[in-house]
Amino acid sequence: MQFDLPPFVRDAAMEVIGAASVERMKRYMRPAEEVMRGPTMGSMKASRVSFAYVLARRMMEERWCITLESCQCSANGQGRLQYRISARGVDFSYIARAYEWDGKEKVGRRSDGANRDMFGALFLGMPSPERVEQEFATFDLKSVEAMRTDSAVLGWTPANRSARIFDHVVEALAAGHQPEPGLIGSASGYLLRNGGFQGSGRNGSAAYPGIPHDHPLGHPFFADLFGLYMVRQVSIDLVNAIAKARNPNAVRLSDEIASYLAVGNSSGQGMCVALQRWPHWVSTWLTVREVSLAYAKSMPLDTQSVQRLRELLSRVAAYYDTVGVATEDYVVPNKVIAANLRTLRNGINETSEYLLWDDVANAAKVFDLETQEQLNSLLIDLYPSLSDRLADYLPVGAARERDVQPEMSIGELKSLLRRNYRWALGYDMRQSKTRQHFWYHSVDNGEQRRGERIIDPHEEFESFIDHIGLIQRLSCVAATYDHDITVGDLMFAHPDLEMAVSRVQYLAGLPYAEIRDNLIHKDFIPAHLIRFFLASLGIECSTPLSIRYVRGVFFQGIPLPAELANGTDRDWRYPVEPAAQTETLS
Amino acid sequence: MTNISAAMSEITRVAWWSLRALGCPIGAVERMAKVLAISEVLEGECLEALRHDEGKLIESFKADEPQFVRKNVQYGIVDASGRTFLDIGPRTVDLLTGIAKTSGAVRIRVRNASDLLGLSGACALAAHRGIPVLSIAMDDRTSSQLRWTLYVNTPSGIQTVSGSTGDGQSAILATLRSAGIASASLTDLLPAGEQDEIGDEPFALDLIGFAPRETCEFGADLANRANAELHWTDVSAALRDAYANGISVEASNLKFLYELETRAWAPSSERSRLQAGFGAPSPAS
Repeated sequence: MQFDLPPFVRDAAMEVIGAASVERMKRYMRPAEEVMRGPTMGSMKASRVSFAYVLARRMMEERWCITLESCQCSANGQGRLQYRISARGVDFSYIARAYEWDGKEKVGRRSDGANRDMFGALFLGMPSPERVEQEFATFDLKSVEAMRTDSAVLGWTPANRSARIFDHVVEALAAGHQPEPGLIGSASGYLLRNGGFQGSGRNGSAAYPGIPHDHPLGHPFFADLFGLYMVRQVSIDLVNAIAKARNPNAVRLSDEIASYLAVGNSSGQGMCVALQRWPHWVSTWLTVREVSLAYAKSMPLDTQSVQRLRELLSRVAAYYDTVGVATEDYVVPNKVIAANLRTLRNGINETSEYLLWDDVANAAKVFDLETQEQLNSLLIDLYPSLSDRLADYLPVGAARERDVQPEMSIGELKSLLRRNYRWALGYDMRQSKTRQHFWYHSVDNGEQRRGERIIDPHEEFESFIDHIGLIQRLSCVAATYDHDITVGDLMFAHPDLEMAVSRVQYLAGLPYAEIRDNLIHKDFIPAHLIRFFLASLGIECSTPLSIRYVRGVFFQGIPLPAELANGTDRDWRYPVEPAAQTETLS
Repeated sequence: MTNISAAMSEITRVAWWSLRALGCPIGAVERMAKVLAISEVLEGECLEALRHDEGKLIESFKADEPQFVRKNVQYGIVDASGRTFLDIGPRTVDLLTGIAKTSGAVRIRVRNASDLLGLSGACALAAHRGIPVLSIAMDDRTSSQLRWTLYVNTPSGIQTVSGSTGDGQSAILATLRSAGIASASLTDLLPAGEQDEIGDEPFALDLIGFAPRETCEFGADLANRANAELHWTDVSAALRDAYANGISVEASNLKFLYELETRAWAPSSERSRLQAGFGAPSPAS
């Protein structure tokens, strides 16, 4: 199958590797029918083209300067922190308001509303003291209905404590010693857990298209992810400050342990709805990933790349071993993935029979999908000059405009349907199990939930996830029109097909745009797509706790502000808990 | 009256559900929400219209389907069947731009709409597609003047020039020529003659779509008149400002938009809560 690459991707690849290599690389691209399945997408792991890693590289290369300017904190955990960030010649601010622990576990769901252990606000610039006070006062309202901000704020970062270890760490520091070895790793490596970034217009915050183009956070998902980085930093500064308030002689959390910390994250079904609503996002992320991977697979093994991959496989295997949480039976246990990666590592050396990395990827097919996709993520790391350049497509692809092309003839529209949606048009939707579920918002703060047709109410307000039904409906209606009629005529009579027509038209020519699974099928597992979304963002250790809920961590091991300011270039990914390092790596 | 700042993304996101609660079909709501938000920036009072005309809008979405009758190659009539222009506008713009791009200039008269909600947003959509659009509608409900607005895509973005028909068609023709949209058949396109007048029919309007062009540029001669009898708006700049700084809206109107949204949310129940993503407390937290 021959791929037409989006012009930006093609030009960027030509610039880095040359025309001949681009043509060779295209032969190793995987077909959409192989990639765009729920289980395959759900097995994909974060890679250097995931948003968090792209942001982290930028923060390191550009030496972002993050300074804690004020920190007021009481022994009971009430706190106010204010940071200044200087990056690319722009100064902006982040503030955080921490609350006394009320003894209640908060997992970070939308249905929790404003009941969070911490709220932060990421400002576009430097607010006045009065404006900061206004934001703190807004947080203290703790009411979803009453809390409003304005376009000076990029978003709020609600967060919740790890009930299991936050206080333990504070108590250890207040007692004058570091937390006991293994404690943080045993609790997934975080002190604060993301409560869901509330930005891009939510609560009146700045709309993302309004972010100045040259702002350091003017890139898809950078505001959300930098907010997470700041939550992680607050978690470190907060335990130090509370411990100090309890005992002036408290010790500070060691840099070694602080560096190991992550920020926790849990995500639910709303992510699947977003993927279906913005299919050009999916295409963009996967195009960057798959082109990077195809190039790696087209390359021969050499001493340097073999050594690099072996090192990465060892580190990732060790990392998987440290994540020992219970998970669902449709997910491969971390210990199994770790063992598979070690087996792979042992088979790759200068004398092995593999010529190309594609041979290694094919050999890995004896293992499960998760092992294969972890290997793929690591292969992308072997050729950073291309993958880092291709990552520049992330904002370009996300800006693709969606609109109806009314001048198109119905004949051409039908042709697009036949060419790009044969898989959907041939799908049999007659049996009830193929349409069993619908998704909806609940009055519990709008949380996205899944119901069963006929049994559960509110089907008339279902969220859009049924792209196969949508395409089949469009095809049926289009069949009633002559070929030479324009799409504009069809749109006048069937405006309810705007979503379908614009989808077919604006995705034409994009590889990897449509998920080739039926999300409303009785057996569909939402966690596959949640994991895919999270991996694209850059989560590690994503672990489903049900078929509809996935948790994991971001930024584990990322350099602390002092390292960033000093221009560190250390490879921080896949850290092992300091106290456990010697034992685990052996 | 208390005004607060609302974000463009907020209005489009919430309206996606609010409009569905009023009866807008799911497949049409994406663009309708966008047209609503753009019109709120350009005209204001759109969110207020949702609140004040809620019952009328709900009935409007249930009305009969509109009909389009093409009278000749350059002229057709849309009977809106009493539907809101928020519904009729985007689909008429699809029709208009489809014809203009394939067959050249066309005038479409819209009759029997229940309002003109979203007019500027729908016309901006056409200009964004490279189709200059002239709208001619009743100035307001109490005036007999017709107000016209020309929407064009200039090198610096979408701009509009507006005026009223108090001085006949001369101002319209001068504006069109200034934008380089003059043609021999121009006067044929404009409404003329007694039977062609919009008259006092409420919410009737003419939409004239011209042949596509990448960009237009208003001549310097027009700029001199802009402060006097014509009104000039830089639509793209207004939208950029709205995205960057938010829109000032009446708090009660925004609150109503949110209230409408929650009507599309399902009631809570034990069964519903069991269907939520989260199952049990994390053992490791």
